[in-house]
Amino acid sequence: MGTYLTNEHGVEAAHLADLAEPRDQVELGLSEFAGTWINADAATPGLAKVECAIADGRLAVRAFGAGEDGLLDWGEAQDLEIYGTTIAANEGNGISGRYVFPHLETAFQANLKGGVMVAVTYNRFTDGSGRRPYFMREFLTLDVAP
Amino acid sequence: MSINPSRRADGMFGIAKEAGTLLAEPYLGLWLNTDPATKRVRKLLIETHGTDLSIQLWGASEDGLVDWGIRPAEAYVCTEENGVEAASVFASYDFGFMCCDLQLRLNKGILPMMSWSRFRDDSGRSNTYVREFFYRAGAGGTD
Repeated sequence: MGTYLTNEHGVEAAHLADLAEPRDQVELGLSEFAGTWINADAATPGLAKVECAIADGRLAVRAFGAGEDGLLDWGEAQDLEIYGTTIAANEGNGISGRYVFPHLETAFQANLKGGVMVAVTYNRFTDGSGRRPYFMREFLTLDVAP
Repeated sequence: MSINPSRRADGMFGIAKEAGTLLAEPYLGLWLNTDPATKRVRKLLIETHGTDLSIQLWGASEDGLVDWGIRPAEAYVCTEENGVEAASVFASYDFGFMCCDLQLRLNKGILPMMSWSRFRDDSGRSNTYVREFFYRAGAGGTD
């Protein structure tokens, strides 16, 4: 497996030690994400809801923002990536994606911890208005029947 | 005017980029990993260049520190629980075989960094996220 033991940046040495044995590429399990995640803060001005649906082995993440008159559908996240907690992981525990609006781009990352989805958004205006980019961190829980 | 995707996006009007850089001032300087045995990022440096921010990382390796190089960083406004505005810093590295997004948010003198790494080299490594903690060089008696 010498093909990835070195590269011109030498960066990999910081990560390789965690992979005890070489292995084929694996598709990370998605089951932990499935469901509708609701912001624990009902008064959030940011991310209100995240829907995670699995179909044909693929995860789709749909987010909703809190608007003045109800939820605002952001659509399905683009460039979705799944992450594990280690490079040897088999189960997904984190996701990233992005949303592109006409005047704003949002980078979205979320990880699961103790039944909570910790989601952050990095929001940058792209309309030349000079508005400040802003960051939000939100805590969401699965919407399950009691 | 396009509709904002959430109420939070309202009220971000008319403030220049300089304000975000100013909020990032507490991040400036050299930071060391609280775990000296880390196999990942050993230290990082955040600097300003006019109104621009940059970040430089050094990874740990068996042969010493590995310079990841300097990348642009950006300060994002965030509101703390007490209503005070602060900043979170975001930056990305792309080494071809691996892309890495970095999130930094200072918290009471400790600088946590979440790194989200995506591997492109078919090495069998799963994408992974890691949270590490840094302290300001000199604050712990070590430079």
